[in-house]
Amino acid sequence: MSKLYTYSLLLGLYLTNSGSGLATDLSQLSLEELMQQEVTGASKYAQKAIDAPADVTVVTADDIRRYGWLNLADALRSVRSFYLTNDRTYQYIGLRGFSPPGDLNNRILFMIDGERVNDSFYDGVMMGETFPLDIGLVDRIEIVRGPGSAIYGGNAMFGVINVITRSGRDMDGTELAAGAASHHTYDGRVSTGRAFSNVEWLLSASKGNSGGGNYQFNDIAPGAWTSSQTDAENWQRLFGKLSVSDWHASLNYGFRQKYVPTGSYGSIFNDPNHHEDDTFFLADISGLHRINEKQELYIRAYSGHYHYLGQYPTDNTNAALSNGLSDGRPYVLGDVNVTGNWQGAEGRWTSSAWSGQHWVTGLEYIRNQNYYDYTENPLLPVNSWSVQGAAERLGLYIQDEISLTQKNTLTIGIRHDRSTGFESRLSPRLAFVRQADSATTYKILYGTAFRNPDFFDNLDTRANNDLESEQIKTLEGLWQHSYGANMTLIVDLFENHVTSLIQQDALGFTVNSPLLTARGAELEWEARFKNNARTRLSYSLQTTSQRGMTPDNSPVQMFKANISLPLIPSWTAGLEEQAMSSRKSDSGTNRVGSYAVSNLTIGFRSPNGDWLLTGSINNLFNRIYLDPVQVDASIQSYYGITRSTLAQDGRLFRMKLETHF
Amino acid sequence: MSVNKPLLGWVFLGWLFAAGSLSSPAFADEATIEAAFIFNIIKYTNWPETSLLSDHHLLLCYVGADSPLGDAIDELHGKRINTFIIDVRKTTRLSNLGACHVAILGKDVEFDAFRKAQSPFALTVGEGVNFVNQGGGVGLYRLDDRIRFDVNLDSTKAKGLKISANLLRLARNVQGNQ
Repeated sequence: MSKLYTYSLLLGLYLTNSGSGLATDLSQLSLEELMQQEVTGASKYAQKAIDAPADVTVVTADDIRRYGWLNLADALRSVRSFYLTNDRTYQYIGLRGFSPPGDLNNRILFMIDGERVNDSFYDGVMMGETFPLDIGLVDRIEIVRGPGSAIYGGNAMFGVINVITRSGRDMDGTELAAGAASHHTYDGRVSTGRAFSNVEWLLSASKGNSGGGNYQFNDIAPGAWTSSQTDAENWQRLFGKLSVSDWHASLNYGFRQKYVPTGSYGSIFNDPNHHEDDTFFLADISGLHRINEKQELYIRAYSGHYHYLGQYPTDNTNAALSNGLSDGRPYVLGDVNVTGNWQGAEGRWTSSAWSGQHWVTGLEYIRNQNYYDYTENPLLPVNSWSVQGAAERLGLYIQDEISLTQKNTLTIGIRHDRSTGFESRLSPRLAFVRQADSATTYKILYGTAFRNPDFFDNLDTRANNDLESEQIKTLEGLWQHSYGANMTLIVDLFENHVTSLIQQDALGFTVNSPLLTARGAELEWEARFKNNARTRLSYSLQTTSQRGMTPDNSPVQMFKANISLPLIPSWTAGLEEQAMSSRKSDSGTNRVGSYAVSNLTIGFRSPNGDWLLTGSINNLFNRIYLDPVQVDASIQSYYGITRSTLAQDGRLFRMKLETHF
Repeated sequence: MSVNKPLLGWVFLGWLFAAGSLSSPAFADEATIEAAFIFNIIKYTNWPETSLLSDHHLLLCYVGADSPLGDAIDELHGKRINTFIIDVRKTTRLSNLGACHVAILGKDVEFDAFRKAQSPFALTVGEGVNFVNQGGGVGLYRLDDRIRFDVNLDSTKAKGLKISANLLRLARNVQGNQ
């Protein structure tokens, strides 16, 4: 059972041996030697983040409780560089000024316990309740900015997000959680986990539903309010894992159904039958073999499944809406079914047998089968469309972390990828980390990453040109300085060059876009005080440019503040502030204003720790703000209206009760 | 695609510089050193026969919210010491401490509640100079740039624990009688 943390691949690979080595070395020291050991530096995760050949942030379960976050999207909103956009169907992640409307979160690699969760069809993972893991099961979230293709292959263009689940050992019993929130939202979770000698397991089920809110869409229905039914949401999740000695298996299932109030894709306004459902399933088995003290072999096999069902009620009396097939029927329920299946296997060998070096070599194979099935009208077979395809990908990577001197570390990595139908790719990476003294660290990072057009990109046969892979090159410099034991300042400068970006052009065709560049500076200050109070403040400034102008949904400035204070014993307060400058939409012709939103969470933990109660108010001052969204071509042709922004939620209340026995 | 030529140059340069081995860690934080102390303290402690588990696991429990010490304790999981295999349990709940051999108190947990909840044979470990004065077993704290510890023998004796003289010799303060 020892070292199951190894499946925390991100810390295992990216952050390599640097931090974990410390405790190992120290515990070998005698008491007399320990008495002489001087105290310097930062804590383990902070230390790992400092030593890592990347710009890393770790969000912990404790942070999740302090700020009452309901899902991964809530957590990421608080992190430097990140922002989210909501179109009331899904939530989309933006990172360092990059979040083009219509982007499907497929340029970030998402992992659960080091296991890829991007589906094979859209190549992405939707945020909010669509993410297949319950936030109550999160131990920590490891966020790595910048290209990660040198180890992880495709998708890892802008960053890698690895969600590490809690261990059965730490849960040690049964946990119940229940929540209630605005819009008649209720959810519950039951989890149980234990460890006995070399066996450890965790099992969890959760379920939730939301009655939905009432909104106005004055562009397509002036003055009218939608019924709450059209915004309803249902979700359920199962998660299980079992470890026996160095063998590990896990199961992950998630389903989320969202009713859509926006009339997107030209669906009939205020019709309660427009919903979009996502089902996700992933199973894996892995084993770790310790060859000797300094070498390990890790193997894993997995199988995943993704299904999307969209139902769109449309009015076929209007030719513009029904693809020119105006058959006169006023009500047609069209279906889109999307299926992605993937299976893969990987092996990895790590070695620190040569002194001063840490090697990682791996081989990864994945194959997928994708199906797209569109039935606009079940009675007219001519108006249905089915496509399917299969692809394979093989990746080989090697990385060496070399301790040049005690203070300087050089990391060199390269990965070769071969994929069906595409040129093979080489993704190199180079990182230099200098720990100048116990308080100051410098990093110079260069990385590249790519993404092949996914099945969905290639569906657009109208484009009739072969899409190329897109590629990013990033150069980044980071300076981190600790003031005393409890205060840290980070300054980061970055430059991104994205070539052949796969996007829809103004006519709706999927094409390779011209060069996109981004330059930015980020500042972060974190402090932990003796009384358990914590603060994290960050400011980001970035200029992004494509075709000589700032692209849509790309803020120039962002500011975030997270402040957590102990109140009276057992009570804490968590305050969040998130502000963003204005953003463009509709190819730069429209604009949403800047905004600042505050969230407040009050938490109570019973003295014996068995009960936990949190209450949150989101958007405390009920600020009205908009997000840019993709221009909806159907709404455009039906109503003659260009919708490129959507209003976001006002003040919302949430409560959560957790108990353990 | 082809490899950038300059990159190959860098790789080669890296190789040229790849030299030297690292012996002891250049920088070690307080929590990591404290965790190493706890590991050593286990070496010098004997638990009552009745408390020992047949699978040789020694339960090392940390109670409290995430903290640097909690993180550092994680690294001890699975390590072998004397005849034991260390089994780290982290919890925020005092009711989970029943079978622990070592109970480490996080800074956010109230001492009184902790004292009432701990197991009958747990060696209690906490941070700060006042920990042993309040009745805790071993208190770790920072003095200048080193970690020091105090032992409260009245507390450890009440649990049936035997602390080796080799450990007591290095303690800064020892309260109570052997």
